[in-house]
Amino acid sequence: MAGVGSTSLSLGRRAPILSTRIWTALGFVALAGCFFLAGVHLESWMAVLSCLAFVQARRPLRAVGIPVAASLDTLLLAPITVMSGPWIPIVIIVAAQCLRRSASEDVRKANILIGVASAAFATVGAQLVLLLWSPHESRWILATITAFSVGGVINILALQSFDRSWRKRVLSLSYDPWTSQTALASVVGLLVTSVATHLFATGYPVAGIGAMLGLLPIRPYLKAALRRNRSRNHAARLMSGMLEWSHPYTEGHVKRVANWATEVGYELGLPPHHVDDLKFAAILHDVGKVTVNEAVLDAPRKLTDEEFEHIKIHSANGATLLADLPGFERIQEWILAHHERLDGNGYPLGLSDDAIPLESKVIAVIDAFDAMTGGDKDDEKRNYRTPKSPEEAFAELDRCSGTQFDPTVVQAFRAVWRRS
Amino acid sequence: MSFHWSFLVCAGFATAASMGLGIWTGFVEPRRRVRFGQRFLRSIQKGLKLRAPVVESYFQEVDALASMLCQKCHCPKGLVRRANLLRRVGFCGVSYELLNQAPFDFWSTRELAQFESHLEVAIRLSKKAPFLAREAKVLEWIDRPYFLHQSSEGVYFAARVLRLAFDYNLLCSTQGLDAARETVQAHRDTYDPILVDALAEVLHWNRDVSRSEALV
Repeated sequence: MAGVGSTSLSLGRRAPILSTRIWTALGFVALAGCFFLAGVHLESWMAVLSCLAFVQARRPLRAVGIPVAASLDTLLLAPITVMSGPWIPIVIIVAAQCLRRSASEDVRKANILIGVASAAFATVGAQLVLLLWSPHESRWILATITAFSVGGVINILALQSFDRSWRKRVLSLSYDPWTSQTALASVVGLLVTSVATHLFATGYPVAGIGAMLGLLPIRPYLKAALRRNRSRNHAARLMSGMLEWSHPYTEGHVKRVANWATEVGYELGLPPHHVDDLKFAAILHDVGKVTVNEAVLDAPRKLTDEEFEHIKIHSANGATLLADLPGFERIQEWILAHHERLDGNGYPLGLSDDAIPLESKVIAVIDAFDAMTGGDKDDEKRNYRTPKSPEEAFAELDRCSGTQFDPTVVQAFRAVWRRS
Repeated sequence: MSFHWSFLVCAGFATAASMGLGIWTGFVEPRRRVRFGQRFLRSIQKGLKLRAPVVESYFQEVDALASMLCQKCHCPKGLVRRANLLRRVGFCGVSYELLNQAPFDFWSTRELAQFESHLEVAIRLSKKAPFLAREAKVLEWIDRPYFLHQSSEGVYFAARVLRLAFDYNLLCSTQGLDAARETVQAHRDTYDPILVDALAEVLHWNRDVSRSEALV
């Protein structure tokens, strides 16, 4: 089964969402009318569900660059799995993957593999529940929930078994069931399909169709959630653009820090949506420098105390800039603390070890490393000192571990650096 | 399970789920996006206040004048205000020292040109944020003269309002009130005659003595 998180959303051209919704709702009403007039058979209902699942599997929601991904095929396939076993879901998954134009061969194969395994295990789980709960009235609901949960768990485990970088590069997805949007959509969708399965299995198919109406808003809801994430992404890009314009050196610096921070975040075992926030924080960690005099920042000499004090305001100003923006609440705290030190001698608040967020520590280490080494181009080196080699920079990071930098973060960064 | 009971369960559930998520996505979402845009622009304003407080206060004057013009011409001032906020993005392209230097009337032509380049920077940067596409379009149309594009549609009208408010304020700062008034009147066809008349009414050009005369 392809899983709520198995695929991902490209919103290049905005679809007329409202009219799509109206047409879908009308389609549902027409379907219910036909069933009502012609009589409902379980087979015809399964055929309809299969068609809907096929369409969903072919048109997954994918967030570009954002680890939130969703597809409704799992929700639609769960009742089929419960009532008819794994074969129909397997056929649907294979057909949908084979007909996906945008996906590469590797992605298709991986999705088919995961889908087949999920469907098989989901069937086993559902049949076990039906066997054990056979006299109980709620067995259909429990079986549907089991099928969905087992399929989801198999999906996650299978994705985790892939090498992370390969998963990110080839599958371009990362299943993240714990963002509030996907969790809400999964819970509501699962309850709706469970009730619908129960009604179908106990002989109330028209009522089952009514219950399935509850699935209608889920896709638009997920789309809207993903669009919100896109707005956040664009806002971050614009702010980062402002910084690059006022201080061109930062362009490469910010990108490098963001890339390394993402890798180190994964290395430290942070969940994907958390790593995504960390990436944003790394992109915007120096955004407060738009409020700082460029002549001081780019001065090819050692700064005076007064000038250094002027530069030090950038972390607090960056946090102030992001303070009221929805979606940036956590990030602004991390940005505020990215120049704090473990020994409490940092700025602006003078926080010590436990009070400094882990994400700020990650940004601090990578920021310092990049400041010491600079980029590959000449204009990316700092004006006021000669760049160090990576080995020298790591030696410096080691020397300051425990006082300025978090040793765990330094170790994780070194591991990531070696692998790269 | 009886039919009535199951029917009630599914109907209730479907209604609750449809209403909750439907309202959330269908009705609340567009407003949320506009709110996000507004809050983002306010953040930008905060940034400019920290970078160049003098210029920010100047822009607030432009905001006030543009609002008065909108009120006079019965056009919605939200878009004008948001576009003017987005314009502030361009100040990252103007040097910190210039923005915090002497007032406009002491600037050289070169410095004034550098200051005015902020619009170009704002237009280029605003392309990175599609959720501000309408405001970005207003900025793109600011420099186009009225006699070439006489559309009264919201975006174009907002662009003309902003241009007149900004230019008038800048002229007042650099040349004085009387010269600013004369220049604006002389370029009625460039700015939009209706707006120039509205500006004359708003600032009581026809009734009162000018502020400069009053000061004398």
